[in-house]
Amino acid sequence: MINADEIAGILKAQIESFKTQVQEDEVGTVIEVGANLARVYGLRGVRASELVEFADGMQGVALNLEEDNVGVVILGSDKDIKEGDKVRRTGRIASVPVGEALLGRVVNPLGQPIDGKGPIETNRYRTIENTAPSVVQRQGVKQPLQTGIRAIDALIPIGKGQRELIIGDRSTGKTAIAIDTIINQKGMNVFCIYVAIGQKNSTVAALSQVLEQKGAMEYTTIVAVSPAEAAALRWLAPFAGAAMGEELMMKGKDVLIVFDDLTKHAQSYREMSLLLRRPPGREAYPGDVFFLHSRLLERAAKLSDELGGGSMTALPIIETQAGDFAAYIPTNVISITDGQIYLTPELFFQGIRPAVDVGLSVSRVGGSAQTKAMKSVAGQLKLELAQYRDLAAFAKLSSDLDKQTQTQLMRGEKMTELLKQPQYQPQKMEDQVALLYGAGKGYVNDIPTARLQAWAKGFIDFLHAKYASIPEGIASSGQLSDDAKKQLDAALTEYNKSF
Amino acid sequence: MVGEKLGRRYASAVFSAAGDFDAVERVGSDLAAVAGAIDGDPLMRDFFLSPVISRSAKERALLEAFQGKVHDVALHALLLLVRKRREAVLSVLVPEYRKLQMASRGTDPLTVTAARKLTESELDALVSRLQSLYGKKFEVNEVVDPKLIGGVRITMGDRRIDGTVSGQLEALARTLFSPN
Repeated sequence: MINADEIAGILKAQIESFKTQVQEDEVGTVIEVGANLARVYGLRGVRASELVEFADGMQGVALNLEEDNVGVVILGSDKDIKEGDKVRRTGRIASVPVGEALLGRVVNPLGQPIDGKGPIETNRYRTIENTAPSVVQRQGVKQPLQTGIRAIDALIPIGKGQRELIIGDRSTGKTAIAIDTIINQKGMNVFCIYVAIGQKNSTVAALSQVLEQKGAMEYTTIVAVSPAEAAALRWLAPFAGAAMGEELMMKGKDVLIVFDDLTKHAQSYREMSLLLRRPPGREAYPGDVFFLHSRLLERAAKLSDELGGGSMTALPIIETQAGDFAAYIPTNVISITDGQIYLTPELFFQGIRPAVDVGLSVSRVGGSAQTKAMKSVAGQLKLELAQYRDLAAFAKLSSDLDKQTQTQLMRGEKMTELLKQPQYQPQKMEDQVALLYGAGKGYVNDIPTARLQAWAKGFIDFLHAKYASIPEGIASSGQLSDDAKKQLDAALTEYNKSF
Repeated sequence: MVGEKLGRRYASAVFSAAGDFDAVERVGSDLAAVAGAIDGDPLMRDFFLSPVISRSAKERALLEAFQGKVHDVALHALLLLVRKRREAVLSVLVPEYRKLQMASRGTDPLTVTAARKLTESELDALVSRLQSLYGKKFEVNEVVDPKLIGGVRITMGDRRIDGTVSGQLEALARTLFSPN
């Protein structure tokens, strides 16, 4: 514990080192303040998005530059700002501290720690709005980003540098997918940033605890802003997170960033825009809400080898209302991203969790990033599930159906069951491959559907205990050789006898 | 700052009308005097700004009070404000008019705020240094504010140069209370 003398000593040192100098500022006067916005008279030289400082040290961003006043959004509470207060230009664009010191921390959109673990020791800062890497600075998505979720890694593969949207109604497991993906990056040398935009503080606290327990917090930064804070902070949060990710990407690291969720982000921007009296468009969103998200998600990239080959993979989340994917913000973000993972409440309540609708979900670029081993087992799975979807309506009449249709229904049912996966239990690529290989070869056909989960879990344990070289081989080569296939067949036959 | 835009428009109209009569200075000082008189007396101000009092009554009063004493352009400007129900604009019109006057003379406004009254030589030295620094001519407005404790604060439009003790204290307070 620090004592009063020490505090006095620190203060004295600060006072002694304080340099007195004449300050030259450009100032304006607050003429109106309310709803976390201020209208400022003067500040004629201020530039768009410049940071300004109020008399009490509170910061704001100049957003609307009008003929005789400037609209400033206040980054915090407006309770101490009065009409007539002076507002000072800073000449800077809003920036946040960046670097590896932020890993393991929970910060607000200004990069200030909110986890009570003391100050963040970094001298690197980065502006929150940056131009996305250009065409020559990038290369195609080519390495897989393993989510550890069978349904996604097999059917909707995600590559490093991709933007894959997670979309669905409330409580269909959107965040769960993102969190499992973060947990699965343990030991993969991928840094994670989770941006919680307007999430309840209790949710964020619970989430950081889970990540801590799973050992995932050491490579993760959480940028959190609660619904009780100013709309301007919610608007800044994803940009601040992206700036933190970019710093690591530019150093050649791989980064995963989750924006949870962009629906609330768009709503915060709408709130701000309407209060700034910008003209409302469809669903009262301002005209540039598309640009807001496109410029944010464009910053996700796989950099060229000359620039270090770092990457930033973005998993934006969108919440729909009653499955309305055709609403304004969902369609915007669907068109911006490189694919989407659809979650539906119907599947969720049927017990199919993660509730991924594999028919509607796509990944537009991830296929080229999928490992050869996974590709070789996923093809058949895709086909069988597609056939199953076509026939699913007949499932209730299964006794009256011909043999082939019955087989297809049975296979579809097994595959669907096998794609179920409990939360917080991501699976390694090699284990997924072994499991899906077994399923594809029909080793699950005689296992009752209700016992399939137990069979799958048991098989992986069995494999690691008795045939550890097979998964190791798949993991190191990324391929499923004919030799490995033979060994897997032997292992599966042996396991099925004992099951 | 409601009516600032409006005040600027009225000011530029009055300014150009005054220019036609070659009476820019006279109209400016007359308007300032009238505005000062109206603003200085609560009764006058209530009368002038009240929406209850009819326009004709106001016009009569203005004519009686100022006809022959102020330039016709200034008087007509006042009558126009009354007729258009824009009496409140007068308080904005006067400073805007002054800005136009300064712009036409090629000078900029400069406010020097000091804790005590500066001597003439101090002020001259300060202003001539600023003029050579910014390459501008200034019209100086001097203000004394003991709350500054010491030093001077210079305001040129939006630009503020603060060399006062109170400003230094504020900056010190900011660094002591800042989160880092």
